[in-house]
Amino acid sequence: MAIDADEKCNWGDELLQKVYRFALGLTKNKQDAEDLTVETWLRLERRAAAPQGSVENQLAYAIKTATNLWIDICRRERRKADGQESGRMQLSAALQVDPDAEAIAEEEAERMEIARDHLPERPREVFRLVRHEGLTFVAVAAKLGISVSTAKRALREALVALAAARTDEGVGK
Amino acid sequence: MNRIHHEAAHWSVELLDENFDGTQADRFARWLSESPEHLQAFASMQQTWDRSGQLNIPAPVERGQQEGSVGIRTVVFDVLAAAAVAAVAWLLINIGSPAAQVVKADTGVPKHIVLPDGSQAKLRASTEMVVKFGSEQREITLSRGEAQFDVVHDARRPFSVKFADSVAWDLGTRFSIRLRGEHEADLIVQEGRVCLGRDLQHCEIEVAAGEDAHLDFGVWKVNTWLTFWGAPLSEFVAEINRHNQRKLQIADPTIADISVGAIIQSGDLDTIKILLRKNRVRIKASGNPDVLLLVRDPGHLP
Repeated sequence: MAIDADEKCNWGDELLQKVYRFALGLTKNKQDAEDLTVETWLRLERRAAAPQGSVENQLAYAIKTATNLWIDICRRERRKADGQESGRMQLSAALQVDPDAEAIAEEEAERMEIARDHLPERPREVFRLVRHEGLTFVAVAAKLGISVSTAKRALREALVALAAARTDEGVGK
Repeated sequence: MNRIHHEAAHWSVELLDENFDGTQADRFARWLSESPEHLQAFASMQQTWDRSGQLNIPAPVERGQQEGSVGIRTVVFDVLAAAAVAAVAWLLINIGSPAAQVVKADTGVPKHIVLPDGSQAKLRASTEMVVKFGSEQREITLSRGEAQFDVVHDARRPFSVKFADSVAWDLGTRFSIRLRGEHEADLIVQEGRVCLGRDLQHCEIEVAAGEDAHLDFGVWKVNTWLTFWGAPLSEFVAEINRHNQRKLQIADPTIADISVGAIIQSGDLDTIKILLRKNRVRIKASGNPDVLLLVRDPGHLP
């Protein structure tokens, strides 16, 4: 999607400039960076209009959104290069007729639950507070009497363990 | 898990920090662009994070949301025979207050329930929803997993399902909803039609039997193949809009009659963009995130 030069100048928004800068660093291509920034902006606007619109950190949310969009674009390009059908079709096909995918997802969920239940107490509690109670790191740190960096380290530990369980790899592998 | 996965976990956690700043964003961009493996590892870590939100976590039960109460008959499925919809046992629960109630299908155990109005819901394993039936509405909130609904239509009492910032309601139908993440979901209509929107007042997209819709970051698209043989752009736009929550709008009347020929998937905006460019039409953002403007490509003036 193209952007008018005057439109770009009118943005004048520090957040969007940071997103564009991030997108340029990520894509290494001005046109892709502009497209990615516009798409991210649209998503942010949409998110702001939603009932749960307040986002603690707009920049982090925008960067995450831009990254996920870029991942989607790269995947689509790869599928097109491989001559496969569009991802949407694959998703819908998987949803309707692929019992294996469902079974795999179930197995992944079971492994993740086991891994979570076997986490040491601190990572398990930090994960619960951040993921399921939506607390910020500052709030978690205050609640558990630890530093913010310790809370982050604990969450990293939990996330790596869950990722290893989901992909069926050992943490140390 | 290798070093790259640990770095991906680091960035996933940093992005949750309310103090994430521009300097970190620059460092993150550098890290991501260093290698395709970095992008892949981050995508995998994000998938783990999204999935972790759907794990079976015991949570405090809110007031008015006691599990397994009012008016819902539960059919427990034999997992091996689940597809055959063979009821093994019935658990009849007495009707109580019209308060919301939580229905869960635990890990590995699908569940089939018959709702008070005779509508049925089949919950895949690891699914959770809240059922709230009143005299003027039948409302379900799907918070996790996937469920199929076979609805007894009642125009006076709409049957709606809330999920992922959206609401779907029946126009006499059978449909399935699958939550894939906080802002990602799929809807498949097996029979009849379903309305999709952000509230019950506005049917933004109508999804018909045999079609499926995908929610990506809060925007709905319906996937179906459309064929155009020299259709005017205005007709092309009207048809695409019928299948997409984000609407195209012709901002320049002189392009409305441009002839378009294509076989295209209705939700494939990338291909639509390419097609329009070939027809010397360009998409640009409007002030409204739900509307994209179509203008003549300035490089191809008439």
